[in-house]
Amino acid sequence: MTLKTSSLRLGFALLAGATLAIGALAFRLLRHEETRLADEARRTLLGRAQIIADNVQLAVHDVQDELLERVAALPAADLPRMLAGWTEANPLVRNTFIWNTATRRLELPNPAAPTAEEKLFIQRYAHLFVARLETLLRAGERENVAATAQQQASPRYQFNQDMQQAMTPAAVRPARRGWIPWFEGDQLFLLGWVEREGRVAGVELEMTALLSRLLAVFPREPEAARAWALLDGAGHVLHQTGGLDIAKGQKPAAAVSLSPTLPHWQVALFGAPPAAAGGSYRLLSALLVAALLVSILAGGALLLWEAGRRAREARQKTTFVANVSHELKTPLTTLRMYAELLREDRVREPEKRRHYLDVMITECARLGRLVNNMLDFSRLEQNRRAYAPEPLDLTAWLAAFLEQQRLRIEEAGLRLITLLPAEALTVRTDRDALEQAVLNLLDNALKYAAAGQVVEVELVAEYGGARLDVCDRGPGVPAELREKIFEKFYRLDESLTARVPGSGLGLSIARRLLRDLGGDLACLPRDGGGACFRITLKDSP
Amino acid sequence: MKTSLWIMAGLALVAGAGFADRAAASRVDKVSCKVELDRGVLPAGASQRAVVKVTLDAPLVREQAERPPVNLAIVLDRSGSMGSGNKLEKAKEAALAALHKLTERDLFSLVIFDHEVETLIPPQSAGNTEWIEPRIRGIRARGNTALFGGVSQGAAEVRKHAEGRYVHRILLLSDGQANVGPSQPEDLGRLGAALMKERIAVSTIGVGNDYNEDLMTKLAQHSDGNTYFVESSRDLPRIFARELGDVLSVFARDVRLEIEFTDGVRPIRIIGRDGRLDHRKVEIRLNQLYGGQAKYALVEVEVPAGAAHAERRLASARCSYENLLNRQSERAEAEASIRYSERESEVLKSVNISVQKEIAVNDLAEAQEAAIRQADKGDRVQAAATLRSANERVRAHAKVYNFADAQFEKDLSNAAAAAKAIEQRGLDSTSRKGLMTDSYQMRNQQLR
Repeated sequence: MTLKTSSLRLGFALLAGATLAIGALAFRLLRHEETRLADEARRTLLGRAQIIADNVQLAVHDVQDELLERVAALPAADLPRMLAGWTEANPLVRNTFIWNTATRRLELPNPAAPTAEEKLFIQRYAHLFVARLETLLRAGERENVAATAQQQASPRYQFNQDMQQAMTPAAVRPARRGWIPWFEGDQLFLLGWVEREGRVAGVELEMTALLSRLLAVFPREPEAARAWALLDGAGHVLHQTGGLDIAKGQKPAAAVSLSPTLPHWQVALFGAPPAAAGGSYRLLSALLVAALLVSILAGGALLLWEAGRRAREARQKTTFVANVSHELKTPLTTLRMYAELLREDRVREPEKRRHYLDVMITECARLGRLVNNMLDFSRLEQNRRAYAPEPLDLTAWLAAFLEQQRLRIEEAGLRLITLLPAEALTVRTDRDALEQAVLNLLDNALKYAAAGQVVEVELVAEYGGARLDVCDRGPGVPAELREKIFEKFYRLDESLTARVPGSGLGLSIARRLLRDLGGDLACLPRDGGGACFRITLKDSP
Repeated sequence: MKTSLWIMAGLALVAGAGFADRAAASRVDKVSCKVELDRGVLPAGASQRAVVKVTLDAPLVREQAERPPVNLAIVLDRSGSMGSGNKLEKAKEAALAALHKLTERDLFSLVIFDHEVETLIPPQSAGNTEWIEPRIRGIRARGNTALFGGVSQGAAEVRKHAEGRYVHRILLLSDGQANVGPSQPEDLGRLGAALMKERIAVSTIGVGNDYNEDLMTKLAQHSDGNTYFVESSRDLPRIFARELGDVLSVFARDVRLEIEFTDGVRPIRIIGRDGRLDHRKVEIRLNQLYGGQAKYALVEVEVPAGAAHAERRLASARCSYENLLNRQSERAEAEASIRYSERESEVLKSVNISVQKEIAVNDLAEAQEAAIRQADKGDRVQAAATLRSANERVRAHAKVYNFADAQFEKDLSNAAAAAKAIEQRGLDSTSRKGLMTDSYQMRNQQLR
């Protein structure tokens, strides 16, 4: 028995260990996969941000190239007037200027009456014109500026530039030109210039108009928890697509710089960091793994339990067969011995012969009961037992039944005490089944409680039925086994059962019968030692 | 056909150059240009300040069939606040009413914005009402206010049909402070200026008491659109109808007015409008002229002293524009001269009452703007005083020349009420919006 339990435990431990190992592995793989997915998502998003940034830069470069191309192509003779007209007509041009490198002065279209806008322009770029522009021009800057402009320019822009260079014959190389980003009052301005015959002609981009056109470059973002945004140098959101409401000071999840075309500006992605995007994936996978582990464990445990049950049942059946054979063999031996004695005709005294015959009859009756019990058991097991409930006067029936049994009981050395109600107590029930149940209880008392010298049977009327107690003063039943004794084939401890033969079916059959009749059978403790079995009967309709 | 057109154009030029007044009477399908002075006769012997008024009057567009098609983009704020007080519902109703006023020759597009911007209805024939209507009705309020993005998107939709003789117009309706993207009035002003170069006018409608009137006014001013202040959303359909009335009657676009002054006459300032002021020349640009509606420019000049009875040519005005009915570039010209006299009665008799009225209206508008600036700085007493003194001055002016009409009286009483309110409680949001919008409308000669 202990060996069996420990092997079961070992089996379960092995199973659990393997399951845990699988679980751990699965979770590790899951974590790995998750990191990989998150990385991939982040890379994809960064890639998208880069594409948007490239498009923004391309759009700006397109505008810039076209403007400078046109400045370069304007006829020199009428340059101031052409530029002024252009300022009025081109939405992308905020101001135009001509810088005379010889006089180091700005040539305004109308120096006597600069417009408010022109005054602002001069104010804004005074420092640039006085100091930096000169430096730029002096240093053979075209290469310089171009170089800085291309340092971080996108591959696509680079490609466009290369194509343009390849298509332009060396002789028609454009004049020296460039763009200068200029910050004033925290705002970005772009100033383009082209060197022409001792003068520098240039344009100032209308940044709001440029921005207004850049917005079209941004793709629509269907994700409600995400937003693409264009940020200026101070981190202000200039434009956004996507449903997310960007809070002030919120950090972007990914950002790509627009330098050097638009220094300090960024294309940024807000909300939904890529890791959280896999949240549902993690949950689902974890659930799946957990379900797998639970099912492995549950299945294994079920199998082990089933195996244990089968083994126990097999053991009980072996004991049962041994017991039953023993039970059958004892009366048969007795019968055979007495029958042989009688056949040899050695016993002359008529009392003795009579006694022998009486013993044989008793043994036959015992055999009959045993066989009946077994038949009943098999019938009950197959649910083939048929009941014939009828009104039965319990008082009268019990008095008569006990009178029949009194002799047997007293022969076993027990005193029978009966406590019956004075009046008739009629309950609708199956007489044979009830008789068999009570008989099994009495048999038990005879078998195991003979030392107690007394067996009490009490019948009491109850609401809607009756109760019938069969009590003895035997060794009693330990509290923890009071239910177990009703299991089929179960017999109380080895020492007791070793001395007394039995099938382990009596109580099980009695309870089955009574429950089938709508009543019950329970084992109760008894003050002063002994066991008490209580039959409750319901008056079945 | 072609020859006859050329002949007509030639005739028009000749007529325009020589006989401006007579020509204006005989040609109804052209913009007429008129130059007047506040007084036709100036006192002799001293240099004088005078005001030159140049009026551009476009004829009514009578036939629906001949009016130029409209390319209208409505830019609708659907931020969370629009959901309250029925504003969005009324705006949707008004947009639908506007849609039904257009014909299938016109283009209609609609952009909605909260913190993001969406083109709900891409530009298409306004005849597609079956497709357009349910989409407009389905708009729900939510989110923040990306005003710059909204207008930019509206401009992008209009730009898709930049070619052709459309009257381009963006109609912006918002009730909130721009809080996504550029949101300084100057930024929006610059956007408006850039759009004007593309011949796109932005008319702005501010609803309720929370929008930024500086921003809305600047945007309209720099793109030569109209601006409206709608305190109650019930007025929205009426305002839309008025705006659409203007849009549907545009006669000319890309209007440039050049006023050249003769030697010695010095322009001092342009009253009520933006423009380039030179030592001898004034240039003013308008995005469009509405049929049946006169627009004018006032320029204050210094006229040198002259001897009695002497006559002097003072200024000549040249106006070039694109006539949207026949898609021709046309010109209109006019000039004005004055006479000097030593008799005061003659000077008084020569007073041009309509010019006086416009001077008074602009005076009031300027005073209102000054008062707003003063009140913004917290100087309530000064602001109220500015308004009061302007009010008295203008009222006295009106009494002398007897030009007060109902609208004028209303403007005066509004200003008086505002002065009182400023004194008592400071300039509240509603009065500020009222004053700001009124003064813009006065200066812009917007129909009210």
